[in-house]
This record gives sequence, structure tokens and C-alpha cells, in this order.
Amino acid sequence: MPDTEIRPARLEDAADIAAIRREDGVRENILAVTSERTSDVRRFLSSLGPDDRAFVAVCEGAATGMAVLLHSTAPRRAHCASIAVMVGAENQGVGVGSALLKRLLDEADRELCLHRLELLVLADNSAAISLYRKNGFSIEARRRHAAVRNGDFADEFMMARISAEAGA
Amino acid sequence: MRIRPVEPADAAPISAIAAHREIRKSMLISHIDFSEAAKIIAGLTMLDHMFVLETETPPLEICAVLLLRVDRQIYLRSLARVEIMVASKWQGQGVGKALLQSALELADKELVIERVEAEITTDNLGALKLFKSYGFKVEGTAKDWASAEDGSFTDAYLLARCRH
Repeated sequence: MPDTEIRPARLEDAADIAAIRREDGVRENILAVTSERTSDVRRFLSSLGPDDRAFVAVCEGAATGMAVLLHSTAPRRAHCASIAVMVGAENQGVGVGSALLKRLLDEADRELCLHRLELLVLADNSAAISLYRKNGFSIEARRRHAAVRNGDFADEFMMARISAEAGA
Repeated sequence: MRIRPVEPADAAPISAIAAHREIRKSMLISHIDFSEAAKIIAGLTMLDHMFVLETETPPLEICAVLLLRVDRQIYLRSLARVEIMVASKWQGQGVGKALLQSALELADKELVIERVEAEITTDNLGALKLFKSYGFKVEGTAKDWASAEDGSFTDAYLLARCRH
């Protein structure tokens, strides 16, 4: 991995993040659309609450990936959060996603003390699934037609990690 | 009995149903807290469809409520989540079934929703039977999905019904 820093996301990162979200090879996997604007990302970053987290990987001054953790707002699910990780197309496969995910898990385990982390991933995104498996996530359900890709419905997996079982 | 869209005046009776101790224990696990009905009703958008089932003869009484929420994400407007709450004294009398049937007709014939999903605690066998009878399948079990009053965790069935 080229010299990369992981740090909390800032509003100034919005343009880089929006550009990554629209990229071929990223967009299809994260349910983004080609019309997304920088202001959409700014709005998302501004909407994060005190128990949510967003980190970016930064290389040579530009964001190359992002990881977010959204704390559950459901009344009986305060012990849960959902997470998502994305990496720009040209930086995939070199450890950026792994570094982002580890930072997020560290935060979830040590600071937020969350019991259950969950995520949704397209069922054919094997690189992402393997990264999540390596970090203690397992598949709980195949969600049929829960996503859209290239004009068709696609399946996704619900994956989860229970902190105690992951040795956290 | 009749089914109609929710009105702001329904907030108080819905909150009262949700506040009932047995309901809080057995309620379908909610992304929604029906005890905050006024807030929920005020926040409904074109993507939200909320029905009540009530008695037609005095004393007029709300027996059950259903909320069908279409996903906000632009890619996923063909996906919706359903939540049902039946008042304790009306459970086991088919009111949840009647509401679910109305919501699925709306989803199929008017909204053209591909996927309707629901989550229920694994001990809620009544709800499991109801959803299965309308074509929902258990896609998996989510471990420690929700917390109970005593602080223990409970698993949930992830259910869904697809048109195609």
C-alpha cells in the first residue's frame, strides 16, 4: 500500500469521495449512481451523529477510500451498528480497505463498545466478502433481489460480527 | 372492521397500544417505535404507507397498525420494509393478516415493489406463520439482533417476499 494515512473524514473530502463513489468498478458495488453530487456527500457527512464514524484513507493529499459506521437508531438495537467500506478503483487490492476496516473495528470495539456489527455486500463481490470474513464477519442471510446492478436485480449478503466471538 | 390510511388523530390510540407491556415484549422488532406515533405520522412521506384497522361500530377502536416503508436509496425504490403492531386484546383474530394482505396488494398492484422485507424475533411464532402464509421466506437468522428488557439479546429471522 502506498504511504496512506487513515483519519476521520472532513467536509473538504466530499469532492474526492463523490468522485470515487461514481467510478466504474465502485459505483455498482455500493449502490451509488452516476448523478451523485459533491453536495450529496457533504450532506451525508454533515448528518453523522455523535456515535457514527467516517474515516478516509488519504494518499498524497487525496482521499482514496472511505469507511463508515452508522450506529443503529432503532429502539432495541443500541448495541448494533452497520458499516460500509469502499476503495477507489485504482487503489483496490493493496490493503487500503483492510486498513480502513481495521480502524473502524478498533473504534467499534474499544470506544463505542458495540456488540454487533453488520453490513450488506453484493453476493458476487468476493474480494469484499473475503476481507470481511478475515475480520470476523460471517454470512447470515442471502437477501434476494435486495439490490440493483446494471439494470437487473441482484442478491446481497447480510454479514455480521459479534464482538465477543471475534475476540475483541 | 375496516382498514383505512392513518390520520393524525390516530396518534394517541396507537401510542397507547404500543405502550402496553406485553406489546413492547412481543412487538415485531422495530426500526420504528410506534409509541412515538405522533412523530411517525407527522414524518410520513410519499414513500411511506401507513394503515390502521379499526372497528366500524361503537366503541370505535383501533385494533392494529401497519407501516410499509419504501427504501429511501434511489437505487432501491423497488424495496420496502413492513412493520405490523396488533393490540394485545386483538391478537390471534386475523387483524394482522387483514392488514398485511392490504399492504401487499398495495405493494404489488400500485407501487410495483419487487421485494418486501420484515424482521421478527425468533420467538414470535405467530408472526412467522403469518408472514410465511403470504409467501415470505426466511432468508437467514441474525444473531443478537435486538435487546430485551432484561438486557439479554434475541435473534431475529430476516424475512422477504420477492415478485420475481
